[in-house]
Amino acid sequence: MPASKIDVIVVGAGASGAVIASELAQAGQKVVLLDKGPKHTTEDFRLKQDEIRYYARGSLVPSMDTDPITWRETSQDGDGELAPWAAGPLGTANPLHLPPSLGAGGGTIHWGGACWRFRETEFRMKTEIEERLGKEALPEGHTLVDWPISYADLEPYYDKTEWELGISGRGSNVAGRPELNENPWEAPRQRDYPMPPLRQGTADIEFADACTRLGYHPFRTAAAIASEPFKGRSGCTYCGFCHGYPCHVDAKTSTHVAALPYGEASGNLEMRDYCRVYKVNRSNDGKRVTGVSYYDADGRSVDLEADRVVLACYALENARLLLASGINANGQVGKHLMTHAFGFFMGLTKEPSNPYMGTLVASTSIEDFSGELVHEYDPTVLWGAPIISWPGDYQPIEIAHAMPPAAPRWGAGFRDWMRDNYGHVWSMYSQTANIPTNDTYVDLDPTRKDPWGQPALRMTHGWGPWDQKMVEFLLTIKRKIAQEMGLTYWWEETTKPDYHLSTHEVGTHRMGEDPATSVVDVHGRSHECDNLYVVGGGQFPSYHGYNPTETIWAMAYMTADDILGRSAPAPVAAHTHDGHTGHASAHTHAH
Amino acid sequence: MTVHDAATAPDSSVALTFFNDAEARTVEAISERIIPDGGDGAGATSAGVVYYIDRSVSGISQNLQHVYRTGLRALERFCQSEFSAPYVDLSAEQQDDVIRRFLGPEVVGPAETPQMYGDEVGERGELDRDLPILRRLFAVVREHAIEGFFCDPVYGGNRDAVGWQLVGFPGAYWGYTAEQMGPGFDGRTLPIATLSDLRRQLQEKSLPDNSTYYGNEEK
Repeated sequence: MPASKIDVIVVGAGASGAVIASELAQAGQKVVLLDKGPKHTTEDFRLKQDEIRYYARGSLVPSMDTDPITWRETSQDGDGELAPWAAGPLGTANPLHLPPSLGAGGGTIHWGGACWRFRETEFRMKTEIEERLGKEALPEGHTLVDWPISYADLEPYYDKTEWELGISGRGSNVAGRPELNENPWEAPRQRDYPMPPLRQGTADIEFADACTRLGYHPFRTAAAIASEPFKGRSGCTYCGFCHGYPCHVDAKTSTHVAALPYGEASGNLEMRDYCRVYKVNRSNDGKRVTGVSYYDADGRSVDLEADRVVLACYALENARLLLASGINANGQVGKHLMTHAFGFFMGLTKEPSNPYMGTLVASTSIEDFSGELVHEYDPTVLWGAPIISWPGDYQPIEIAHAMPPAAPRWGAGFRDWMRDNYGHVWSMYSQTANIPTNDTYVDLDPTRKDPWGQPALRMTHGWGPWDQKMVEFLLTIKRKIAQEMGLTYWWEETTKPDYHLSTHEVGTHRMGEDPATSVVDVHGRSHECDNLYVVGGGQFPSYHGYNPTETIWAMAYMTADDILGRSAPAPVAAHTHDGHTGHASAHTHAH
Repeated sequence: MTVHDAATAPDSSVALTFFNDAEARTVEAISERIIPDGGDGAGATSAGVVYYIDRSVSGISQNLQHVYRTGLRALERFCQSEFSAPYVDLSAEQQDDVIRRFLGPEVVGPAETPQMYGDEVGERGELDRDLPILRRLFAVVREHAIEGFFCDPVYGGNRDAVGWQLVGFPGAYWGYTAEQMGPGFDGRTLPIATLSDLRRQLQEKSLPDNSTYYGNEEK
């Protein structure tokens, strides 16, 4: 692309950034996409079956040296320290508890690919809790609000996400398909997924059977992983190096292969990698943005101008950039931080589980205790979540780090435990979010700077007793399932985990209709600066028992439509599973 | 060594890139107590864990060089003071006792903090000053030993894939078939493959087609 006028600068080439940049470019907008990481290609990842490179050394994720994040539990706990859970004995970290991967694809490079639509009641969580449990049920100082949009507003975009990007699964509430009914609580959908579910791991079948015997309603977890060839990408090979790893066959829906190539094919999209944006620049009256300043790969500062700027660099970095740029007139930026506690539950199966095969999302879930459904069982639990089986994709070092507390940490006992049990490991988890309060937020660290002299982000975040109660309730159900499955041994994560980063942070630039109490509108457009969009999970007004990415994608398509002045996608007539082949031919470019 | 064997020579190399000979023997001895051979040929020494650590510390983990260099010196001071002998010459029981002092006991209960040397003493003079570095050293060696035992052999450890064989991990695979993922299949029957095997297949263009693996019986 010539160095002519730029219509839109998109900062961050991850889940939402790559989708928005590609949508805009295909519609004729001149787009420059900036990312502080590399522009990955599939060739980089062909030999990715390496636990040292990707897990132990976290080669894809930012390091606390270059992208420091400090933390304190409450605002009364001093200035904050470098995230203590993010550094093991070697000074490196489990990539699950750092911000997402850098570079093209962002977090969708290393993610497990769990894909969920939020159910209808999630969008009015505050009202549901207050009507069902009373106004006093929510904790003092909470800042929970309902969403300014409903499930119905997002449905066309969920549908577009699933069929454009490639999601596998089996719907349960599909228009005109009454025979699909595994999950009684699924929100209505205009059509099924474009691909059938992934192949289950063997222990997942035991989980599903146990849930059925207990009267629960197991269904197949949807996955952003192709279960068969999709738009020129391969079906999943179940190599077992998935979560935390890049995909070597492009089966995983990573936006560097599922979105970016279409934008680049238009000739209107230029991605510049290793460009670290440090400031959003504004007009003199402050009402509009004029562009961004970034440090390039050689450390030179570059100013870039455009008609519009889209910040799409994760809930945390979006907030940090806004604050570092002084864009926070109403004081709302960084507030309402929410993240997930996983309630990890691991156990040992009688038969070999072969946990190194498959993907963690080639699995089964139950929604019997999701959202408000949990109130029927225990009205002191504010909100529930699905319980999700995690049947595979476990390598030996990861399991050595996840051994039960009662197992020996070293010596013959350690060695023998790994020998006898590694091949029988299986797990399940749930994702419950903290209720946002006045004391869960991010701001700029008062003293710490990154190597470029920019202020570090500081998190203030703790797990309240109400948050722990959600984890504990779901653990009681997991124990029943474990017993029913006949697991020979099991162990649990605490209800108050020591991590406060889960690659699932949201809420920090809340969307809303009132410019006084939110940062962006329902399309992700800044209330403060007309031509600035701030997108991603940071927009979420409340948070739920689901992985955020499918909703982030749906909202990204919404943002693109708003920028382009397009209306929402029209309903699509019922399709069959081979419906996607009709437009596969347009996308046969080589990666 | 034949010419053909030269291709695999690095995997049996005993050369060092950071440690001196004495340091390497000490690290090897500690690692062997952390992951001891159970009589089946699978332990830290046979896996070449020390070579994984040596290459890590001269390469990507240069920031840990001082932990090893000063920590191992402190360990020798401690062993001389306590046993009048270097760590490598202690009995296995004595070596375990030293590890317990600085790394804590093998089993720690869920809510407990490991009770370690130094929690109860405060008058040991010079040795007290060594306490933080000794604790750090043993925490680092434990972590490195686990990595070196289960890494791909390209990193210098897990020689002959003894760590993977012990636990039944088949290593680096392009994928698994429906039959292999099915109930009743014992993955221990799968042959072990390494990153080197995969790269060779890539170079020779002898990869199995992806459809070998994604054939989905649930269609």
